[in-house]
Amino acid sequence: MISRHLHRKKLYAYLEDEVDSAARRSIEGHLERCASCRGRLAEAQALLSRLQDLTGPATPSRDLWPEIEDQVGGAEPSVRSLEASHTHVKRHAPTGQRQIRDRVRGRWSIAAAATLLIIAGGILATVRSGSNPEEQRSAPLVGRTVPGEPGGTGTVTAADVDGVYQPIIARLRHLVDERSEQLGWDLAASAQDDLASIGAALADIREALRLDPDSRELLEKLDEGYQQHIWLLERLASVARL
Amino acid sequence: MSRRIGLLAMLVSVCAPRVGQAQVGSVDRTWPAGETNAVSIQARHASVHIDVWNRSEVRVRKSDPHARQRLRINRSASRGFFIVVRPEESAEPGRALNDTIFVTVPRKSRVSVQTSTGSVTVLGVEGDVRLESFFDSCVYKGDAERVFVTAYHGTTRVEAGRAREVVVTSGSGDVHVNTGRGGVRIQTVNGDIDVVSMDPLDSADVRSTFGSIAFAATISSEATVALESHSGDVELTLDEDVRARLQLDTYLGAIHNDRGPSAPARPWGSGGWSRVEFALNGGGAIVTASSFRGDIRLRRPE
Repeated sequence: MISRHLHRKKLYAYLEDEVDSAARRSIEGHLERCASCRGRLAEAQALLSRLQDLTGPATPSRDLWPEIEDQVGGAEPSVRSLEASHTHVKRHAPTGQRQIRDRVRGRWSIAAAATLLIIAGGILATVRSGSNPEEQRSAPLVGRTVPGEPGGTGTVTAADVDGVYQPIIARLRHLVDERSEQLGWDLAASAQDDLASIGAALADIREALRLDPDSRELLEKLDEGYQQHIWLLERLASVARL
Repeated sequence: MSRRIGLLAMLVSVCAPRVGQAQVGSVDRTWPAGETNAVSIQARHASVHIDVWNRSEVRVRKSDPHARQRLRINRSASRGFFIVVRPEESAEPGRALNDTIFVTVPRKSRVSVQTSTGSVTVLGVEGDVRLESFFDSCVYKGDAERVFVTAYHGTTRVEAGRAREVVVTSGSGDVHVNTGRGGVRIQTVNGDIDVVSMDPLDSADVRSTFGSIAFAATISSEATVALESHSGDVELTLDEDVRARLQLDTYLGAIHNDRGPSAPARPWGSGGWSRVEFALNGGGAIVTASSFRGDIRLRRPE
């Protein structure tokens, strides 16, 4: 089979010369064939290089505890935040051949992205409902959220999904970048790695969509990838606040 | 007589542990648990270890007198105990501040713990459990009905054989869940996931972007199970007598199936998803396993 992307642990072990010669040959063989992993390797190298310039643990730029104590004054903030992160966003009822899959499909998200997900849910409702205009008419957001498809009856493309998510991701990314010095170097490294993983997954799905632009499954996976991207950024923004 | 009572009352008020007061240095105090049985702990750099006892009291210990951590303990009728652990103002921020807070609670307590750099360990608590750590591990072992974990960098381990609901979200940390009966929902970005269940699960929704998934659980004949990774392998081990309809999908990987049809890996551009659908023992539960780049394996139990 086509080999999977290299796991981050393996990439870092390779960079830090902690793999044996057989593993090194295997990794280098994969890197020769896989542009995505070469890109991740380059990013990891750059990250390690930057991290070597840092000395000692990260120091918050200010005391964050007054904010936490403000939260403590409210009702069970930790319970609330945990519940928010476990919010299970339900989607429109599935139809057609995806019934089996959709019966078991749940959605994970975050309260902070709820509005976005309503909009995105509108797009995916169109993706899923396909030829069922009645279902689309029952969801007024659909018609307004699909660019170029005022009636909500046309085909949703990867560009439509990109158009909804990318501005939100850009804003969240900006927020995380602003707070990045509060993350600490090890979490920042892990975060970069996780974001790169999601980026690689989205790139895979886009490439597959280029070959098969009408695939609902792939559009759904693109949607899922974006949702995970948002979850991750929101999570990083929240840890930076803490 | 009344003077003696007054002196006694004064003595008690001076010596009794006071809720709402900041505790520094070593701490070993016990308070009545109250009726809500709720204990919430918010710590930035401290690890938290919670166990149970058969008393209606909450005991809080912090044994390292040199740790630069300050405890503030509040209690209310509606919220129960709320414990905040924070560095002393003069302490230098950083991970060197890590300290462990030990809390013993009544067995039926509901527990919520949130920490940044510390680990969280909760043993034996039977009320709802909610754990959150960004950097370090989250561990729960006990008979809680509902367990919620939000992790990021550390490993998550949950052993909750009687749980109705286990929910774990993580970034790069691996997740190990041993549960039964109810439902499990797990999602990671880079972390590997393994799920084990001895009692029949009713539902499982397990997803990872880069991690692999290993699912070796007994499932009910009404269960719905969805296992999905983008780049990792997905491996299922189902009981011989399981009644289920299965759908196995991969875009670039192979399908290895000990109990039905297999499919080879396919290169880019060769026509989309490989899919295998079949029933075991006449069908019943609905099981889907999917990976974009990884292999799908269905194994017989050893």
